[in-house]
Amino acid sequence: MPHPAPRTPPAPAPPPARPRARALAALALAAAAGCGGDFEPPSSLTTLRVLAIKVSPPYGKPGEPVQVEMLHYDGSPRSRGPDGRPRQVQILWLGGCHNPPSDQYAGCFEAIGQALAGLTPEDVAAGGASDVFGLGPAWGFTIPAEIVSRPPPGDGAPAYGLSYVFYVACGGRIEQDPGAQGGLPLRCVDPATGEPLGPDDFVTGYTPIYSYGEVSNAHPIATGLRFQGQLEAAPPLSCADAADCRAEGLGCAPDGRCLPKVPPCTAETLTDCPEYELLVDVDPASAEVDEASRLEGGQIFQESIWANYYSTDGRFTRQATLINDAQEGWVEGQETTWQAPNAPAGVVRFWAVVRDNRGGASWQIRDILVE
Amino acid sequence: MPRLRHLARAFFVATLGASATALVSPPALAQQPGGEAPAPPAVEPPVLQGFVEAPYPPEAEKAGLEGNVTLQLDIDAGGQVTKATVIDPAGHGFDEAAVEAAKKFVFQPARRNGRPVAARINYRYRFNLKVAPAPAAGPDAPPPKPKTLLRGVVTMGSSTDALEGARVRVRPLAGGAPLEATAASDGSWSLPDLPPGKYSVEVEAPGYEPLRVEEEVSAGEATEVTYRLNPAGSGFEVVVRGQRPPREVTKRTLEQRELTRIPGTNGDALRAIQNLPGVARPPGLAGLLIVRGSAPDETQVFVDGALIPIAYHFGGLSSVVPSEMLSKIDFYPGNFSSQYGRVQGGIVDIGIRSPNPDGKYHGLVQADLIDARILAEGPVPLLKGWSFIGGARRSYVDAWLGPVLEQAGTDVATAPVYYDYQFFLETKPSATSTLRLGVFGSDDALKLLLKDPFLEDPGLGGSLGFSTSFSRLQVLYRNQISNDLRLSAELALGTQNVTFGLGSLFFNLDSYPVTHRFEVSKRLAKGATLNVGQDIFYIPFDIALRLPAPPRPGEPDPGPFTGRPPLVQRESGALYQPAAFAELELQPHERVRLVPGFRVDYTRETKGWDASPRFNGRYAVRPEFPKTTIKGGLGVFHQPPEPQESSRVFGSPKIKSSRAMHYSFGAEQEITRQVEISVEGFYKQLDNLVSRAPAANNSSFEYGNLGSGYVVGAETLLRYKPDKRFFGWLAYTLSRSARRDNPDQPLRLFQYDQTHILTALGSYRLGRGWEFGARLRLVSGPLDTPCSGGLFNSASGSYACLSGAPFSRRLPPFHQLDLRIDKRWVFSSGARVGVYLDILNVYNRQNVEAVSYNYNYSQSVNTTGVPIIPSLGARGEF
Repeated sequence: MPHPAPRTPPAPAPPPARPRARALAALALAAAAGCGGDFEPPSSLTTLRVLAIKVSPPYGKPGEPVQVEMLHYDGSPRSRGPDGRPRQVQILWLGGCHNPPSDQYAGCFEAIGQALAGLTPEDVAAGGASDVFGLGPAWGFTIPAEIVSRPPPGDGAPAYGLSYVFYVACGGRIEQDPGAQGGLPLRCVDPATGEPLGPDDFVTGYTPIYSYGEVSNAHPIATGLRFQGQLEAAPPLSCADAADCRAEGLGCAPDGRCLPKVPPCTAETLTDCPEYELLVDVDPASAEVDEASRLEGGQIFQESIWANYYSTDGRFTRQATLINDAQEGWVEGQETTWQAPNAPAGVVRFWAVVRDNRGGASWQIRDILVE
Repeated sequence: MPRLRHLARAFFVATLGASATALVSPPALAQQPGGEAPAPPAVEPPVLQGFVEAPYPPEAEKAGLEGNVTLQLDIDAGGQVTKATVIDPAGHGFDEAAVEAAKKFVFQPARRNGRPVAARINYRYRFNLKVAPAPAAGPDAPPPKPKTLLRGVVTMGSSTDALEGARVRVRPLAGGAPLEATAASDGSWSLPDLPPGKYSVEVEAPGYEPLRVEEEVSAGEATEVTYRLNPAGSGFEVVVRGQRPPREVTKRTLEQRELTRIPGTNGDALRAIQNLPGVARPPGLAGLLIVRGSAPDETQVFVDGALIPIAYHFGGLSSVVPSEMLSKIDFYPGNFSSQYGRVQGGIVDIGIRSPNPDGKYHGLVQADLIDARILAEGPVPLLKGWSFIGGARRSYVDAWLGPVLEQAGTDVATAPVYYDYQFFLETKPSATSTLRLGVFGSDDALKLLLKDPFLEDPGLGGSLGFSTSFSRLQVLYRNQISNDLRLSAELALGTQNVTFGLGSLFFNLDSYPVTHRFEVSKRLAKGATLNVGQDIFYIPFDIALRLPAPPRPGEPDPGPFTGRPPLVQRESGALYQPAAFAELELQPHERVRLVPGFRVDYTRETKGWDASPRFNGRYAVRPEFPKTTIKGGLGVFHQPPEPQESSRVFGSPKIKSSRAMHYSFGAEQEITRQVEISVEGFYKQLDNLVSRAPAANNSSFEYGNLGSGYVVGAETLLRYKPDKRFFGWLAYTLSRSARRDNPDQPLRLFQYDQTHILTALGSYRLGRGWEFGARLRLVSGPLDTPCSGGLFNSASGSYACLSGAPFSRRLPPFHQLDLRIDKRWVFSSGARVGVYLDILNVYNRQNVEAVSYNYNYSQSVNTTGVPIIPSLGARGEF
């Protein structure tokens, strides 16, 4: 059996001087504004998480269908059952809220509650067939034809309409909960015990979908995720054992892929850990002109584009990076760096979710080995 | 028959000399190495020019009695005695005689910075019997040799206790060697055989204020005097007051030393106000004035009548006018005069001081870790009668914060920087008038490129710019035309700019305010003065904005702004808000003061008229020391909607002004000459507050005057007024501020409610130029809106808080100790150099300012405020 050609990833970069600079900045800001909490960063996926919703098209068209697709990851300690198999994550979509008062999502809760109360078992069984209800990782509905009924929000600004789509991702079983306070009238329970599950296993969220008569938007174009400057080989190198991944810095993953391999960080403090560079490649053509600003007749802005990074282990030094600024344009220094965990973790997965400020989203995924 | 002799004039000069020491250090004292730093010679006490001799009371004369009557004289700016009150009676007809005579005295009026002002002094009127001449000798006897004698006793203060060992030095004014005598155990002393003439007499004793008087000794006469020395530090008081008695229920005026020595304020005068009763603690280092439960934008700040848009630079680090340039800060926490309007909270009116009138040039340089400032003043070359005072300040936070931010990966176009400037020219066109031309302004700016977007709302990352600036060109004219007529006029033209940019969102406001005040005060009759005036506010503006609709307190968290269509507005226009006011100051009885007033405001933006009647009153239960006064007031106060609230894009042009009814009642009590206490209860009924409600078509919100609320509380101030050694106070406020956004909602605590506010501070001069101060604050914790969880917003990749009841949770109490140490050196040349160390939060209390949540609002932790922060500064002046 032929071995795939080995790839030679660059050696791990030495720790740059950034941590010290960041420490100085943190000190300065702390002196000025006091101190807050030290939480698990949002890039660390240790619970059930919704990472992105891709709405296609990002700006809905009146009377036309819209597709929504969820990117999620179940990193909860309860994500695997006693048999070691991953648990099923239930995903529920709720729509039918258009142009709520003051554009506030909270204005939808009452209507959502009424819609849920009217659901029948048949509706649930036919999940996805309704414009107000769906099940599964993707769903679609049609934007009302008269959605663009808002008055223009100012001088030259285009008129728009707004639809909200709510969703839940549950590591158990979704149930209605009319007594829920402040949010959707739903809860997520452990199917074995019937006990409600908390935010580590139950995510609720919403996505606003704006509709314009004339303005459109495209998703940002993410073309790859570089680890230490290298894109993943296409197709991936396959392996049976480590010997098959001959290039320096590669290891053989349990699923038979040769992946970049880095050692765990054995330094006593995180700031002394080596940093590995990650960079999501984004096509500069993604930086569209913000059409609304052009119609307004004033200063014309570009889209803001940024990337959120996530990983199943280790730490990012930058949780999010700016890719394109509305005023300054394409930004230099879009990369982030990542520090390995202090113990072997096997396959570590990275996500880079690229968003623009007009509802567009795309993502890239990359795996490495920490051994 | 005994002859009468009065020493009143001599004693008046002497007591003023002693008391003036507390206010204006004489050069001899100032030049002592390591001595106390002298206060600036801003106050000149009144000088007696026309003495009137009181008739000796027949009863006392017949009984051979002598007496001393201590009077308290109120002298107006024209030098006339308006009131004479006996504070240390002698009985036997002496009191009445002294009062009648003193009322006819004529003074050269007191002056503050060269301007005549009203004053109150203590005056001791002495009645002494002259020793009768010896009986004529027989015809054969030789003619008596003329016997000239100066003798007397020295006593302790106002008692009759002898002051043994006091040294009396008598120096002929015409020149010659001085003579000395020492007081015996009974306080007596004697200097016989003095040549006739005038003498300067100096009386000194350890631990007592020195006394300097002039005496005239006639040939063959024996002159007997009694000198009373006052203990050091308790010299007679000269209180130079403002030109007018207060029209308000409560007017708190801080003196210069208080303004610059309060620990924890870095010597900043406006931050000193935050320590007064009724003023809540602002969060963190924020430069906000939260007065009696009102929002910060419900209090206005003026500079000599000209409204300024901001009082503090970035983060409240310092105010926009340096303390060294202020003559006073008048703070009205409520029930203010009809001359002020357009707010329903409080008023701060900053007075710029006049240039030093001594005809010399003076300067000051000060630097600390935050900023540096210079100040200069003196006569204007080639312009006789004109003097100037000017200053400037610039921060250098950018010098160290900019590189730190750049190292952290932020592109810094403009690091945080602020500066301000002031320049005033002043002259006196006549003896009673003052004309001042001035220009002043301020600028704060910041511009960054944040390459790490905000995790809470990444769409708002990127270019971040903020600047706010203003300038004013001001003309100020005041004229005390006569005792009965006074006018003041102020005109200010300026520019004002506020810019904010964050990514594709921005707010640019350029405005050109014109403010004008004019007031005439006419004394209609005894005890009746009418003040009428106008107050015009005209602001042409250009605005361009692209922002999401601003949420209002009480509304649910709207979630991240990312992706939300912004509201867009480009407009030019002008705000026009003229007002007229009239106020009658009535004094139907010497103990009673009533001030009814009325104000009418017009707001062109809303086409609304607001009528605001007000009434304040004071009654002196005990008019003499220790004075007891009760006071009270009620009135209507309107505040026009904010421009964005009446904007056709953001808000609703239909809304009207909000309204507050102020009620207050309190008392003031002098305890000692230095210590006084005031207690005041207040209640504010708030109506027509601007809030948002669903529009008729249920597709959006619109603004309406639907809100209401109240503030109720009590505040007390126990104050030790500044003397040579110490000043300090204990301020406590108990209050509750509650509001509702529409009639259907229950009342909730208002965002700025603070139940208990206790501030204790003091500063003590240790001697040798050292001064030590401390401030302790104990305040209820801030209110917080809890988040019960989060909703993931996939457009931004961040979570929105599922907010609970607005401001329904109070965070732990705040307490903090601040210390300040000053050291000053005074040189013989008159130059003064000082250094200070101001330490904020000495015991590094981790005060909770807010609650931080993790990314999905499932975990929270308290966010603490500023840690211990020392600030070192140096200052030199000449």
